[in-house]
Amino acid sequence: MTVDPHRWADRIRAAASGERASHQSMLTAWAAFLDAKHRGDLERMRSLLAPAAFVRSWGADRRVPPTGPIQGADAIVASWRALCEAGQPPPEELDVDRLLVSDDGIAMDGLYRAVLPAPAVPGLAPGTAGDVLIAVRAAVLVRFTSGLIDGYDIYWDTRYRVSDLPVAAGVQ
Amino acid sequence: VTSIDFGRQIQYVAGKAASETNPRYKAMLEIWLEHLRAEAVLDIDRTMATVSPDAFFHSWGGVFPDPDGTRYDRVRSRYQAVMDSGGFPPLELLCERFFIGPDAILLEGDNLSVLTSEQARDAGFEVTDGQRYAAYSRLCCWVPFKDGKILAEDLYWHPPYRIEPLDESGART
Repeated sequence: MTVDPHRWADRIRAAASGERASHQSMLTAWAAFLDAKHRGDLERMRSLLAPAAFVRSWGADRRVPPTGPIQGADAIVASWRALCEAGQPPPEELDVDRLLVSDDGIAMDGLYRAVLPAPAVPGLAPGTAGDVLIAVRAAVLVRFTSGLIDGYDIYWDTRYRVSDLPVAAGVQ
Repeated sequence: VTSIDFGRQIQYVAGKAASETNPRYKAMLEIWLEHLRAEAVLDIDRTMATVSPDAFFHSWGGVFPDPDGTRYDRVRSRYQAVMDSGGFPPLELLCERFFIGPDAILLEGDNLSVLTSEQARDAGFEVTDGQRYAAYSRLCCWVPFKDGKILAEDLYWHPPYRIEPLDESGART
């Protein structure tokens, strides 16, 4: 199991090529947002978000703070800044199985993979330290307004697979 | 004052089918509409006639654990069990978002169901004994198609996160 942070954005860009202009615009904006997250380019992230943008995280193990809604572009950028300041931006990707585009958004689902600090992963044995490579089923629904990301909802399964590969071998 | 009404969800899909101009998308919507209508009248043969023999349903999010997915025969037996017990409990998806593409439909929104006070307490809410509640969970429902039939209802769930008391008639107050 590997994580290739470019693969998600590349998949979205590839889908954009066959779409009409309004759909292309949303898909390329989302791909640019993913690229900016991976680079830790906080100002580029902010430039793609509507001021009142939100992030909501759904799934049975997401019921308690701090995994509730993040409200506002500043808060979204700040939450990513905190992760970046704790180290490198966490490598992540969604291996997209299905992708749909509507007039105001895009929806995709597949297997999400990321390298995360063990304490951030629900369900691991207490005391598990260091980084782990996880894979979990997820869907992401992105909403747009006036060409900007108005927010996105992430739906998580509760069943994680944790790789026993050394992290260094798991990141491309 | 509003009751929980699966018929409104059916009407939502019917409206999408009526206004769709792409013939492929319209056919998908009409198949799903037939599926929902057949479920509502507890007609197992009509329901399963809309489902692909390669069906593989999933439920993610930990609300209805389904670790290995559900193939056609188990889908049928589950529907049969529900219908034999008198049908589905009151359910209604309050559709907020709709997507359609060449191979799938997606609906997303709050899903209403009914909880007893005991169930609501077990779900972590403060309740009045004997009161029934409308529970708001979150649902993202993918409906992929294969050869003109429903390949799955792949459900991403979030458990109830808000409740409202119901009056004696079952209406939301």
